[in-house]
Amino acid sequence: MAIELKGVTKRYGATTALDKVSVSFGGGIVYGLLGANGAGKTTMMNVITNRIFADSGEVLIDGERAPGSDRALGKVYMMAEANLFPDSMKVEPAFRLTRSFYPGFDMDYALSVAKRFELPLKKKVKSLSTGYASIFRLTLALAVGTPYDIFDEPVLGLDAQHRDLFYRLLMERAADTEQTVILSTHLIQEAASLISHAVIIHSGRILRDMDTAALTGAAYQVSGPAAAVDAYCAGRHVLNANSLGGLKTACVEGEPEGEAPAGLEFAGMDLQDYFISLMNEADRREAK
Amino acid sequence: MAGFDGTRPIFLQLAEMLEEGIISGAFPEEGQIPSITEYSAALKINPATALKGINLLVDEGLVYKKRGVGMFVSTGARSKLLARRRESFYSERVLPVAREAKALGLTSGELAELTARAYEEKE
Amino acid sequence: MKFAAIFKYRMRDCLISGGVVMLVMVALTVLSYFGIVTFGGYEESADGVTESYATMNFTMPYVIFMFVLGIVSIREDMRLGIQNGAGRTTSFMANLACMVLTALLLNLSCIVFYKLWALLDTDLVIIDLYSMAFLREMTPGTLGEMLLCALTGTAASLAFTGCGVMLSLVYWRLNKAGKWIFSLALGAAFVLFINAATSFDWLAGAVTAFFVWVVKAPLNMNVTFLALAAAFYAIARAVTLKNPITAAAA
Repeated sequence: MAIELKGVTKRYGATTALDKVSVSFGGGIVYGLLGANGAGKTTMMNVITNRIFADSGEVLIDGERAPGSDRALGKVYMMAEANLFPDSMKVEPAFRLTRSFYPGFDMDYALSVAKRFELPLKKKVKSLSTGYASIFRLTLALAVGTPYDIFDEPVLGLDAQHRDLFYRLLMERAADTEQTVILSTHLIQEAASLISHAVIIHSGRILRDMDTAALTGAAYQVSGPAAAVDAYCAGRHVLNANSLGGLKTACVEGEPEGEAPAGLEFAGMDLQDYFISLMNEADRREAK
Repeated sequence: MAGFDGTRPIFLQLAEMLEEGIISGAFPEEGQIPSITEYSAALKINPATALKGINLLVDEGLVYKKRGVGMFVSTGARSKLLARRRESFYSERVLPVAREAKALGLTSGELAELTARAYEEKE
Repeated sequence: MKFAAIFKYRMRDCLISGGVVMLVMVALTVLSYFGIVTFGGYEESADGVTESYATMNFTMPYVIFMFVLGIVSIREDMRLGIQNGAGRTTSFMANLACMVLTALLLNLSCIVFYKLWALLDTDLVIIDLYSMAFLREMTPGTLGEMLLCALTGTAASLAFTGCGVMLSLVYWRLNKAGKWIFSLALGAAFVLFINAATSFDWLAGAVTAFFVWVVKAPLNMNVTFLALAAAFYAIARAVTLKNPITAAAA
């Protein structure tokens, strides 16, 4: 039971937005789809939900080909940045309309979430500010109750207080339901503790697809005098390195063996550090 | 977020937080502790992470689960934790201090003097 | 399930807007009756006396309304469908079902107006597409004639709805340059065709023969309208099979 992408490619003219992407999402856990703006996150989500078609490859939802299938598509809800509701639609009627499509939609919950965010129910969806438009859409996604729930940049335009509330609500839902959640975001730091599995995408390619703990455990930082760091790094896979004066910090893949050699220090990496080193390495490789 | 250090596993940090709570008496013995849902919502952490952290304490018998009711601090959990803390006190706290003192050129007598002074320090 | 949800939403919308159009038409009819508004003309009778008369027509306004409804509704339904987990075919078919039902309801409602008008026995002439082509009277007389009027009106409405739906989807699919090329090509094709029809006798003959055939029998006319509707809907369907479903530009 999963959303599976098999060799999905999508091109826009000369740019390849997705390059033979194979990945799967399932198991009732919270995924982070992490990548910079323009890495292909939204394209991937749009292909899954058949908003757009892949040039090649296929998307299966619980083993069923997604495009054209009400049953398969009905299992996935996507909170997208684009508003697909009619111009004249107001917030509360949009809730009711969504319920007519999804029997599992929890109206009481949606109204309580709307109240906590102070989302105006009588306003037209189209006239909401960026932040409230995000709140409107994330409220629907939280209440919809589909087996797969996609949040594409959910906190766009939200202030700190509302972001905090959203993260709390999302974690509460994740704990209380069996939903598989895909949180697509470029805000790595904020997503780090929310997700348990990270899919890192760069220029349309999946760079890493791993449990978050395994991911951050799979690299460490070495710092100390530049010469000593360089000597240590020789023969090791260095993701990224920074120098400051005679001091150098390198991000090395793998796990440190034993104690740090004299003069050097080992440190763990958080997801954001790891993500940045990975991006820098990928950029360097592409530049070659 | 919520004072977690991103470079160490969050479940370990959550377990430490819970242990602190038991030692300080914030979670009294036979008292109920928050649920997985409450922890993940309040700390904005993945529920699987919260479960992993709490399970560490369950495995050690510090916390027990009552089906359908919730999780409670076991009797004797505090004394068990205190005993364990005393054991690790030497290796985790005293040893590094002694090493640092040596590096600074302090004699063992001078270090003992400092320790005595710190002990008398009013908070 | 998904079909029902889209159908329910769209049908409600169609009934409201169709009802408004119907009310406007009734209001115009009443105004025409009192001579406040006139759609009409004059006719020279044999003795050279000019006789003026007022007319009303339901079929054409409904056809135009359905054309516009086709243009505005299809994108909304495709968007709503994909946001709420409905396949493209489902959204498309739900929209089509609503269009057919609305066209049928609007044109059937004409029967009531014809009946009422016959009762009032006024000088106002209600012209109907079908009766104009096939009956000696402008207005149908018997219930059977009225039914045929309604059916032909529905077929005509659907041809134009299909055209609206197709144009809406084609323009949605095309990028800016494509839109220009398509528009210009459409205009150029039209001008070329008119020119060709006047320049080549065989083409003029063929076009004339076709129109003569269409108005020769009600079946011919209905078949023509339905064939047009089918052709437009086939193109529209082909577009929905591949087009990206994007939000309306703000």
